[in-house]
Amino acid sequence: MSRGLLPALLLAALVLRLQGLDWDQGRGLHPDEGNLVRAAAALGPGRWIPAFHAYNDLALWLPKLAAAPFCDTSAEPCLRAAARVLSALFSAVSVWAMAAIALRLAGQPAMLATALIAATSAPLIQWAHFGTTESALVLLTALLWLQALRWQRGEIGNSGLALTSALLLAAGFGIKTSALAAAVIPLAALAVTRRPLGPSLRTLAWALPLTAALALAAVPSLIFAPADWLAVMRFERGVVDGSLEVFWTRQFAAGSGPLFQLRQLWGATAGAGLALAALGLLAPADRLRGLVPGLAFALVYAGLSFGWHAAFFRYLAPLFPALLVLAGLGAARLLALPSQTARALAGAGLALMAVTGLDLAASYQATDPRVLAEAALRTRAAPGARLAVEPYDSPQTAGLETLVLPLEDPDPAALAGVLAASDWMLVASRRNWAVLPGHPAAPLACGYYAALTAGDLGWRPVALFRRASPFGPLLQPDLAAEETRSVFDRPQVILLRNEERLDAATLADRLSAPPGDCTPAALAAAWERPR
Amino acid sequence: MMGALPAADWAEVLRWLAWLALATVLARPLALRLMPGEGGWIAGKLLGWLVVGWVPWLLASFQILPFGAAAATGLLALALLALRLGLRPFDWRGFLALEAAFAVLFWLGLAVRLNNAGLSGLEKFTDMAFLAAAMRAEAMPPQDAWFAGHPVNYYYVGQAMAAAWAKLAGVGAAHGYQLAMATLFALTALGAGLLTARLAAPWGRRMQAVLGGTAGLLAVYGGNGHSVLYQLVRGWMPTTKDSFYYPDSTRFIGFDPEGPDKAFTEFTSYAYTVGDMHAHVLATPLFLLAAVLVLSILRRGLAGALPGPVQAAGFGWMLGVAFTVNSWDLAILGLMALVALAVLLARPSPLPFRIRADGLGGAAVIALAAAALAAAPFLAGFRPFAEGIAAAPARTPPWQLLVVWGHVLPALLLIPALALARAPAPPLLPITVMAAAGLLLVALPETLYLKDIYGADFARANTMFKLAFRAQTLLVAAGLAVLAPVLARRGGWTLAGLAALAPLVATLAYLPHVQAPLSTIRSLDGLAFLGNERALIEAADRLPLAPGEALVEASSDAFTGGARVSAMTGQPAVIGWTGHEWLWRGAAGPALARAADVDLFYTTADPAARCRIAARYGIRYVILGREERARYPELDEAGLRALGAEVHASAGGSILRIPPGACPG
Repeated sequence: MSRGLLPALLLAALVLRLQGLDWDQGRGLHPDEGNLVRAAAALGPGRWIPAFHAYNDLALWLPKLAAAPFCDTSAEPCLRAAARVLSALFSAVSVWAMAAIALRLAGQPAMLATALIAATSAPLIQWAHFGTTESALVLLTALLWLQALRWQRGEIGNSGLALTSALLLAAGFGIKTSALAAAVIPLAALAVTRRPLGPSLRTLAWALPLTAALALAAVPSLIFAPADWLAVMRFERGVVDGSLEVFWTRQFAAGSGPLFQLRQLWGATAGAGLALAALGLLAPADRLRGLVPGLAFALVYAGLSFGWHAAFFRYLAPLFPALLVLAGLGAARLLALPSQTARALAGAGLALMAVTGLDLAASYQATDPRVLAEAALRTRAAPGARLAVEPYDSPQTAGLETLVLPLEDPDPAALAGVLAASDWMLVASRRNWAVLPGHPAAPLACGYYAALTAGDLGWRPVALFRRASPFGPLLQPDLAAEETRSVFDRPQVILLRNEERLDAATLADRLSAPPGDCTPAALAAAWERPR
Repeated sequence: MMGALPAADWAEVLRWLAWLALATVLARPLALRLMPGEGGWIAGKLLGWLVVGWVPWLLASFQILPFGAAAATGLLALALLALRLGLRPFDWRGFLALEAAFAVLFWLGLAVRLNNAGLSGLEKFTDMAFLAAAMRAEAMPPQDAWFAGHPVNYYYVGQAMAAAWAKLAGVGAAHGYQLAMATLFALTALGAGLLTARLAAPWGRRMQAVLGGTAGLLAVYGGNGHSVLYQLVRGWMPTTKDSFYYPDSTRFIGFDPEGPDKAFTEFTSYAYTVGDMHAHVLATPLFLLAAVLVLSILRRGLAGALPGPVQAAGFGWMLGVAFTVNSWDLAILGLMALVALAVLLARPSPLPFRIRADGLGGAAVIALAAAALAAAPFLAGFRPFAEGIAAAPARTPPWQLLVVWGHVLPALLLIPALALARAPAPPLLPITVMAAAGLLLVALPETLYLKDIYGADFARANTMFKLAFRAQTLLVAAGLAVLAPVLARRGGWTLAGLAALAPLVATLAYLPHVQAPLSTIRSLDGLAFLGNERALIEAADRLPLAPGEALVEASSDAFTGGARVSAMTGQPAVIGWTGHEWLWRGAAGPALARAADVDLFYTTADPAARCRIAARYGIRYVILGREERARYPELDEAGLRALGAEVHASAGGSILRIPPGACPG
């Protein structure tokens, strides 16, 4: 029976990733994916080198090349579909790679446990639905570890390891610069080998320049547009270390760091994943050598990324192979113990993680809440009505005239003017209300949101939309979760109506009044309040 | 004399009973697997009722199938399980005996329900609102008929399970209510009988039959200690009331004499007489089945067999479902399981302690996981409104506790007496566990209570109500069961046993107040109370409300005749019983604001203000009936009629339709 289980789990992984890929009904609601797709669409004759370097060249060319046989590669929908399919396929293959690692480390039960955990991992399923680079980075990390392990076990030779590592590292660099950190994996394998070092070092002598050459080939921008590329890298570094302030990192003003990131990992694996991974670390000594490449990379990468100011959850993607494989090892270890309690705990942990992933996967069959809100707006708003929207978000506006709320303007009259002139309002996610109140860049935000939710501005929520899923808010990321875990694909959308139609002067007065409670928890509770 | 029904009603009853019989047959193999040696036909009946109602709810919660389309999926699930577990050997005699007993009890229960057949009074509007809304719903939770635009935020799953049965039998909500109540009556009698019989099992089948039968009878017709003392020896009791009225036995503490701390001590026979299909009544078959399962696990554990994964998962499922039907039962069943667990860990056993602790730990993890999974679809759409647990602000005077529980005390005192007489412990332990759990439920409201919206006078009324309701069942079962070893010892013990039995049997003094002659069975109709508004409500039932649209009827206080349109039809109204929504939404503001808006809607002379309210709640239909005219003497009928056309007119009133665009957003 167990012989058929792995194929079944891999098939399940593939299905969970490929279903619901059009989760935003063709609207292109993922902003990073939108950037990537737009940049890729612009590539072609006359523009072989991209003008956009937040992702490296290969990340743009991959969907372009993959889509070429099927559709018009200058059209964004075509490229978006290709990018998502690629992401889903990469993610499904990474499940196999992680299972293969676990098999070599601890045998068949660990392989099956890892395959189950990875196949139903919520973050992996989520990234598979985005045409971005996280799934590719997970796959590359897992494949590098798998190759290192195979080399340690003598399944491949020095050249095999060198060649595949060079290819994978170059491909990783072609996608995202930070992927170069994965070079730790083969190097760590080399460091703990019991083989004679001489041949290995001789292989390294040609592998390093080969890797560099392939990396340059994967990122020709480095040769043909080095200044642009370096400027973007400097910008990205500034964003990451916090020296450059952008809207997206305001959510970290209250703090990020190792504890924050550990909390994200805990939440993303339903707690059970991290606990099982900790158990997986208690490996017998004979397995330690196999663990070293993956663990060394995870430690180095965590050491780097946990200190970043910009603690975006997607930055943790390369840690997932190590985390999920260790969790699989931990589960197998518990299942092998002669204890019913241990086995039940392992089963409960696996079930909890699986249910979380399945719930997310099922949610992609439901209509996007922004699309639902737009439909409600379409039926309720009179022709000619004006719609207020928040900046840096992706509301769907039903073709109404839109006015952007100046949430960071310190002058109450500016915000009051837009409020007084609008009939309807869409709050398309928590991006603004859970971040701006209390932030120095938006001095009015606290008072504004407290007054808005209390009804003091004459606006009244008429409907609240969520992406439906079997377990609803129970298993979804809460306010403590980094916002991109929910705002791209499962935002909570609030539709408000200007009922009292207060004039701008009255609104400005009310906006200047001492603010009420504007903590994210208080605002979330207020949105949820029955009306 | 035996009662009779119109042909169409007969057909509904027969369909209902036929599906129940099939569910019993299909559930029995699972019941036997869950409770080896304890299950059988009665457990199959209880389990069949639960599974057939629950599976459609689950599928509709996950939006895998629309609720109506899923009606038969519970039977299908049971059939698949029965195929896997095997139906044979099929005990025809047992099956026929059970069905005969069930049919008799069902008919008696139907008489009790139809004795006052109207679906009004006490909580019947609430329960009908849940039931009818569930029957209208495609997905769960259903829309709240009393708070348009929001899903129900209360323990509605029991009513949804009854709705699934009504869908399966092709019965409307109002008739479904009557048939479900008769079913619950019969299941309560059978379940109480099963629990007692299983407790008395070590002392022979005859003892089981007599004591089990008595327990079943007491569950549906018996009262409590008050019912005995305040009727049979009323002259000796310090009553402030002129005569005995049957609800007095449930409203005694703080009521007679009047006091500042009022508490309710209801029990099953009272519940069936008043006929509310409320959470605690709906959960009773589930509670009894889970209690039998705890007993099975305990008995097998004492014999050295640890609970298997199926038993653990089954109990966990029951815990989870109990939470969604009547959340108090989660705590009560959890308490019973903990007492059983403590006994299994503490008692000498053929198994070493480490093995026992490990096996029970594993079972506990499986049970908790299954409970979480079973409750999760409900929790996903539910916002808790309880305000936490607090120290009880008052204690019941001991003499009043003795009055209420006096009927079981003599029998319960026989447990320590038997222990002192060195009776063999293992067969007695399950009875002791049930008695201990029951006594804990009596003691808990004397120390703690769950805070809700009620004032100081009724602070612990609800807590004591829910705990005492189950305590009565457990203590009567334990009290009757302990008579088995007592009577088996003969001699002076027989006298003691008969003496202890006397007050228990004497609670049947309550029977004349709660039984109903079979001749009351004349029709399943429960809507006659509507009078000339019946046509209006039947028309409202057919109104094609789109998602996001609502009807409006007069706002009303709890336990009045208001909100009858939404209650009887499940159609979403702007506001129903305001106090109930206050409780369910955890805040007074929203419900009171809606009630004020509705009052303004009916009475204002300002068309713009009326239009604003219509747009705010998506009002499509306006009810203009007896209630509206009575509540709003200053009703602006002309202004209301100016909003739209009349789509129904009858002696009871009119329904107006506000066309789209009349009040643009």
